[in-house]
Amino acid sequence: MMCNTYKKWIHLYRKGELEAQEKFRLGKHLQSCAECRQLLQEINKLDEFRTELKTIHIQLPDNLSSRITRTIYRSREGTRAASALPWYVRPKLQFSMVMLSVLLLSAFFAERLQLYYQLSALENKLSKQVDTGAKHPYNITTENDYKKWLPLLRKSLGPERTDETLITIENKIQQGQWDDVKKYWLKNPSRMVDVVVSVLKRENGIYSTQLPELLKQF
Amino acid sequence: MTATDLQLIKQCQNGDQAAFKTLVEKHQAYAYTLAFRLLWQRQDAEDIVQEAFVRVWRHIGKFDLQKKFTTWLYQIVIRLCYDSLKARKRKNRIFQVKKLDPDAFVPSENNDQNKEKLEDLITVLETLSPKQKLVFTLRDLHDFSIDQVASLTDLSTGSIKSNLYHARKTIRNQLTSDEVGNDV
Repeated sequence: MMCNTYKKWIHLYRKGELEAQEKFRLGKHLQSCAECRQLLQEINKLDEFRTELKTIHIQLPDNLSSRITRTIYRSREGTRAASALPWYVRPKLQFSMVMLSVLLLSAFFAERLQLYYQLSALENKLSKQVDTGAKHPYNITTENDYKKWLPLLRKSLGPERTDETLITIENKIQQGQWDDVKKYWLKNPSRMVDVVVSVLKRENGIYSTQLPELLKQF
Repeated sequence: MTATDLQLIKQCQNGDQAAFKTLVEKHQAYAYTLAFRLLWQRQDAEDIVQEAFVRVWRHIGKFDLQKKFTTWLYQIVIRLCYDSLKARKRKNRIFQVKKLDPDAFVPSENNDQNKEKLEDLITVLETLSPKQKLVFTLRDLHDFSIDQVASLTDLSTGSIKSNLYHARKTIRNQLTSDEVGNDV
């Protein structure tokens, strides 16, 4: 019989599951096989090891349960104390409200800031053009002038705009009343760009091929 | 689950702190023994048992009354101990076996001799990996079945058997080589 079988028998012997005949044969084998004897010795040592560790009497620390319940009680009190405060005083909620307000205000002003930047850039551009001697922006003095610009301006500002409004905006651009122009701008930013670009295009002789470059700068 | 445990848990779920204290007193000894045999450090074992019961309190409202409370408690203790063992290994802390707290054990006549012997035993355990130590302690020191160890640790039975085999082999080799060393 191979050693592998005797090794299995060793384990069964330790559990007390070996028949008398098998015990006898195992005993005979162990007399001649050093490897199996070694295994049995190791298993015996492992058993002793286990037994010694298992039989150690571990001392339960004093007042462990009191310490545990005290910890839990303290954490409950803390939670209760925090939730008893009015909502506007609770630190975490305060912080969240502040952050939310900052975000909302930032979103509101971001758009305004962007428009303001665009207006300022355009204002600078137009001012430069005036300073360099370029023709003054659109000057409605004659009925013919008005008739030429009206369709374009109407298209830019939308059908709800009256002719009177168009003239007002044109005049303000002409007179350089940029504060008022900005007010219209904020209400209809995309349309106002069209209006002013149209003015530039017409009065300064900027042809369609140059216009995309100008818009890029803007 | 015993009828008493069930009643206590229901009371705890209603916020009854006195019932929780009774539950703690009933189960703290075994939970502590389990933690101590995994870590062999009194303070660490205390901290873990405390943390385990705090977690029990926090989540007792969601506890399924059909399940066994002790299984749940021991799972928490074992998970915390295993994390601690892994952290110890990661930090390569040389476990100060020589600094075993004598107050951790019930006093006996041969305290010094026992302490030295215990330190030798624990030194052997320290050669195991965290997983091997976990499996060996639960199976061979606490006599949990393989299936019970699997449910307590979320390890597969194959992994448990493999780690157990290697743990036992390592311990046997250590014990034999110690003896050879002593003989020399």
